[in-house]
Amino acid sequence: MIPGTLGTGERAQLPLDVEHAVFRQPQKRIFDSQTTATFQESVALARIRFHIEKYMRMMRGDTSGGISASVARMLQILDRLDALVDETPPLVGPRRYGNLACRDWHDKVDSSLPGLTSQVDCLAGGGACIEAEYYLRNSFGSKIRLDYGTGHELSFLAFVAALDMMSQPRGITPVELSRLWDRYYRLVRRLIVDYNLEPAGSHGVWGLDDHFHLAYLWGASQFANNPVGVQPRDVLSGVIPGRDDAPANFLVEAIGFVKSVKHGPFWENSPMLNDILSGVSSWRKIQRGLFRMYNAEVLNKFPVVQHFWFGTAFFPWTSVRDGTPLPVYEQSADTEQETFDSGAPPGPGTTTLPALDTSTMASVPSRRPAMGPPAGRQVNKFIQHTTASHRDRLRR
Amino acid sequence: MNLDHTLELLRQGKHIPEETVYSLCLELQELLINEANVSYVDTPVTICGDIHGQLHDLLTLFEKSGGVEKTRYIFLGDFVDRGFYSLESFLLLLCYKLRYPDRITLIRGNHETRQITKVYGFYDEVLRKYGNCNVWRYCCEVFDYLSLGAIINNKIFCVHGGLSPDVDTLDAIRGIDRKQEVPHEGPMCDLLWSDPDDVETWSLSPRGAGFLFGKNEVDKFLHGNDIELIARAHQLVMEGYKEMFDGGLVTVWSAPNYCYRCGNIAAVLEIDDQLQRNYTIFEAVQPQDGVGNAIIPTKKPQMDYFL
Repeated sequence: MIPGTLGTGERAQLPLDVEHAVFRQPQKRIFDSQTTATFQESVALARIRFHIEKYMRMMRGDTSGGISASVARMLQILDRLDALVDETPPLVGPRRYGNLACRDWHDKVDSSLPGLTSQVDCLAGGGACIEAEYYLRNSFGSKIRLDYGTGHELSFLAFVAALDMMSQPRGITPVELSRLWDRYYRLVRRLIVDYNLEPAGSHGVWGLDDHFHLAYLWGASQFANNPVGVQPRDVLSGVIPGRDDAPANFLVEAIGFVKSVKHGPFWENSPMLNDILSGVSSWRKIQRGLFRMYNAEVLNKFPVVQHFWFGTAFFPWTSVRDGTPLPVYEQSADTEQETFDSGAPPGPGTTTLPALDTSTMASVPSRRPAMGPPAGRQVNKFIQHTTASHRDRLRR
Repeated sequence: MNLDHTLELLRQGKHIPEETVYSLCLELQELLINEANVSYVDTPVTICGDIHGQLHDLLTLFEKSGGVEKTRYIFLGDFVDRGFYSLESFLLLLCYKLRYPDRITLIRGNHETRQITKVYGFYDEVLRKYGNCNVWRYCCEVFDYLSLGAIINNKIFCVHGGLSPDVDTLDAIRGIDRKQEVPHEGPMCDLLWSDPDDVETWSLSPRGAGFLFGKNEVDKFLHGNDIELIARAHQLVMEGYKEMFDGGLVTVWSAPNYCYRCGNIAAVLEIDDQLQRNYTIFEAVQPQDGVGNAIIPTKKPQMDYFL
């Protein structure tokens, strides 16, 4: 499915019927490259894309204007989570990398959130908290791995979209949209710096950014929708011309953050951002390019989307073609990575084995037959490294 | 291929012609195919951990530790991925290996594989610098011939990751057919992926490959093979090195300020003739804008999104 090419039958799946919606605790559905492909056919993904494209049109950087009671309450909640950082200072003393105080912060968030989100009228009224809160909870990085990446940014997008769906027909306004993302990014950058959060699944200098992608998309959209005389190259030079009263731009702020945490020349530590801003002349092209890239590098990458779970209302695991349920694989405890709830986090830039992807593995010569399970091994817990057996667990 | 000229280009971070990389990789395969899975190395020798394409810091490493003209080196793998100069760093080591075959031992890390380099940057780097992936393919062919470990004076075992429940003796490693892509499980995989940890026995690794092992496994391996130290890399250590299990195992990390942002220092470990351990630590060089800038991308693959 190519974004923007939905047929009428598919478009019919996009609006949420709030009155008849049934909300359930989200479940894990993506286990391997095959289920990542199934995800591409889901109503969940179509709604994610629909809202990204909608926000690409709405982003102008406006921050003055009235906001709804629900959004005002949400901003207060983010303020409260920020205050919890004050109450949970980083631990001093030797450590491998990520600061373990962050786990205490996550615990405090987990225990505060139900009480806080129930005060957001548009969510509490419809019983939507059970799904919406799941996405909000997962927007601040991993408590286990002490990392933060584009998967967590995606989770906040899902939360904003849920809020938006529950606020129909008015929906959230451009001002509300900017304020929500601005407050969110300020909190997350603080978490990254104060608790030394590792970039989740870092590709080093060969990714767009260690942590964020949508921030660049929002910033490029702001410049494209509301030209203030800033050219892409100007952002690299650090001298941003234009009006003094021009609104803060998400892309400019994201690059400022990179420059504050990374040493060395920008072209060397961020070659991709450097190439884009020096080589693409219009903000509209950058905006479209970042969206295409997001579809391929985030929404279609197993290591990221495996952590996106599915409820029954906002982001259902149903076919975008006709709304019928998609195949479900049984969840098995020994394949669930989140069960690593003890011990030290893996550490920054720690490499994990990517999901077995049969399309790329075919080209890899292996002169040794695959080995059987280590029956004779003294292993207290054994993890099945291959995911092929999931296919046997197909329920229907 | 003029080795001296290539070395000079590499030290300056300049572009190396594709044909030069091809012949260099071919010569290295012929050289490495004759090396054992576990190379014998004499003292004195300097053990180096992960490099990850940090060319400037690799040059600092040689500068601070005597240089290849005067010193013997073991590199514990992970030459490539994440950094800007994976290719130049790897080729520099290959050139030194060709020039001084007995003074450089190169051990395979978990990043020296086709699958991992496709995900973690080296593949993208080559595509950006050459516009095609030929050079990546030549390098991957060399990866398949790298050693799995080294043994210093029959007393210190060097490996990238750690131990394997399938490997009780060094002879078990010698029996592996190493000339292949790293499998997803089994002894060869574990040697490149495992980590030491505070565990009672073999435990599963959060990395999805290899195992966690503890003091019991290390003591058993040391005693069973009559050795006194396992030197490995594979995990960032903020102080550059970290001894564990009453000094029976050490982690050495040689990429300072990893990924331009971790703030860690780096270390190499020199083993003298009495098997004494001397650590040399060093910090990241402050890169100057414009130095090494000569690598002009011929094609920017990610730019396809922006056409």
